[in-house]
Amino acid sequence: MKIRIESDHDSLKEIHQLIYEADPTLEVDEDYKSTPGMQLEPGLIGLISAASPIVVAAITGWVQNRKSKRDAELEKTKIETERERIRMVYDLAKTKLILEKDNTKMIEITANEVEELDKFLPPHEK
Amino acid sequence: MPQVKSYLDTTLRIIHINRYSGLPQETTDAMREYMKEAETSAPIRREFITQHLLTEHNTNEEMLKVLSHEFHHYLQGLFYPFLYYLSWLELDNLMYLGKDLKDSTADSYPISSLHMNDDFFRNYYFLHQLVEFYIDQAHLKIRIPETETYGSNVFTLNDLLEDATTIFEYRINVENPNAEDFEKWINNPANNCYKKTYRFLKTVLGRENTFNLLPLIVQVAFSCTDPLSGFCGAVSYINIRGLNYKKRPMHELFKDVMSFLESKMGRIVLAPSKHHFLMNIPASTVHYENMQLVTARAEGGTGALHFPLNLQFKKVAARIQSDPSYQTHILQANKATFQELLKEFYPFAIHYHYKDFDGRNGTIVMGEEYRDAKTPQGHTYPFYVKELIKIKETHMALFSKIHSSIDNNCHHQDCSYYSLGLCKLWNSIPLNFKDCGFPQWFAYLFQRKIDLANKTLIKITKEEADANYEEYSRRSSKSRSFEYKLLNPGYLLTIDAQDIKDERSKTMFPDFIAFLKEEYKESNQTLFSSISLDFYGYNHDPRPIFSIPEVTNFIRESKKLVPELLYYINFDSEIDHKFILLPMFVEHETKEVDGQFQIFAGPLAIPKFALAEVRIWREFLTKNNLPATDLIFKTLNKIFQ
Repeated sequence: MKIRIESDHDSLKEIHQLIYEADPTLEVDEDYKSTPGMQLEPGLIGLISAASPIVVAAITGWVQNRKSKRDAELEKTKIETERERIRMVYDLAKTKLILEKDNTKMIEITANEVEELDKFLPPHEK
Repeated sequence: MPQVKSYLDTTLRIIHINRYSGLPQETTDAMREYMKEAETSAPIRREFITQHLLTEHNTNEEMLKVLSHEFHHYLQGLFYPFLYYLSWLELDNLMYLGKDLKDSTADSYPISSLHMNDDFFRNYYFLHQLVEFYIDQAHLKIRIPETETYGSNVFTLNDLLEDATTIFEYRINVENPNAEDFEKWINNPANNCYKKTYRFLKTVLGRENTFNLLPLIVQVAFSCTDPLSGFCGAVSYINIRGLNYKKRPMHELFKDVMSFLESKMGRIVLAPSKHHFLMNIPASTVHYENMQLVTARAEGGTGALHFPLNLQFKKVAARIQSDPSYQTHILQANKATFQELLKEFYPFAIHYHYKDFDGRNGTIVMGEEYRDAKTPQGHTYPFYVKELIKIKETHMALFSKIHSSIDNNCHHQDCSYYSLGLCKLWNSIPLNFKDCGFPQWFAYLFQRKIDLANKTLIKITKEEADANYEEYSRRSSKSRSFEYKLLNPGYLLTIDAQDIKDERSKTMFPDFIAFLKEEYKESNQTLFSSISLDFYGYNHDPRPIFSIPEVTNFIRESKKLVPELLYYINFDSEIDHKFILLPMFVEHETKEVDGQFQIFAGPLAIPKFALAEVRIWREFLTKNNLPATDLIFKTLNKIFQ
């Protein structure tokens, strides 16, 4: 089973770094999108890897870390407006995990559900 | 280190570097403030960029990485003949669209109605067309993917270019490049590299073959008019027959694969007059000797624009003609050959955009080969390239939606043209937007003026278009022969290495003094000891300013026009004018003592010059009815002490 992670460029780079630090030999494929005529370097839009415990741990660790940072930020700046609070929660929710089997999209999990990622994995990959 | 973002303009093949300077806040604030007051910031910009980049090229690894990445893309445009053609074609297509608009007799066009037709769009989309790779009985084949998903087996031609670049980057960064180490290198996200094609191809050809042959396969692919077919053919050939890269040199292997493809596809003489649309070009191999019609057209003239890359492309073609092995020269680059390549093919233009400063303070660094050279039409390349960028980017803004997703290079948000987005990458941004020449330039180029209220382009007569060009020339050409900055008190006159070469700068001093009298109501009396001189563009020169012949000649010639020149110089300013200027007029010897220059003049040299100066000043004072104040003579004393 493969796992595909979709998020913004910087988040994907952070997650990739975490996976690499946990296991430098693990192959993580990067998915890019290039814009015709735009001439810019292709933009990173996803990471694809085997849904191994290392990857799952890296993602959960990243999400928890991001949540802590967000909570600390909310606390620090005392942001009380509902709109701003929703925006910060939404930013994280944009990170999406897609479990794939034989290149077939199986299930999408938002970052907010990532702590329960284990329940989506087949028993032998837990 | 500040993040550096870059791209290669696939049409003109100019490298763009977008970055923050990484300088401390107080430095950038001071520079911003300085440039805000300086009507012309060009010399400051040039000096800053030169100095900053000299440091950066030695210390900033990220910058070097980005530059080497883009440099390889630049080389691909020279060593992959069909990629060269694609770039040239993009420019030619844009010009065709522009000419069509200009020649159209319709009175008015809504700007939103302009776009590329399907044939042009396919040309433009060519490198980004998604295809799915699959293996069929040891042959690599392609098909259109079922969905527009950018998946694991789905590629664009751009992916091939990027992965060849990754291997180049790796090879020039490590001491002993090898396939095993390359695997580790690409796994590290810090190396920030593309590897999708490599990983896919590895499943077909194996690790060693892919590492050693992928750049060759990509070069073969872009030596075909249908690079995808070329890629598949080359991979299949290697997969079935194998290529012994350990025993045979790269150019022989390249020739083998090309001969195989030629036996299947034939070869073509690319002819710009009939090969306008990629979809209509038969799949064939392309050889340098069959590119002559293209290079002739890319020289420019008779309705076509000169394509700057042509200068270096012809150089590569000539080298290959005398030594066919040269074609694969870039395939197994290493640290040493990288430096050679850089020296030989330094990109003709690198555009640095410093995001700390306004768009008007970006700068184009020209490759040495192009700096003082002229186009076949007689323009200097620095001038031509700047104008060519204007032409290309405005066409792009008109006929595509590409500019809608990029930042505006201009900071004049109050300008009526700002929101229209046609001048987003305009590169002659004045201090005051009312002085901007874009509307007149546009009217001349397309023979249409922009109706801002209705967002339409209105047809104008040729006479009106010519009048607009005159106005644009007036606005864009430097209206004065000098650049200065207000000091409090006094003035700082900038003497720039580039300006000294300009014929008009010969009258810089008399022009500047006349200007100060006119603009600031100064008089000969008030101008006494009021001007400081700032020399730009010589920091890289180890010689003291007074030992640089062109500067000395310039100052001496200026003094012939304004004999009392030293009367105006502020010898009390922070700039040591005495040290800089006096040796230009007094015979002397220079010695370096403990890293500092010391000047030794003959016993009579200074008194002789001092006497001559006293006479000049006295004559000047008498002629202008100026009182010979103590201060004046104290200054003379100070100069000649």
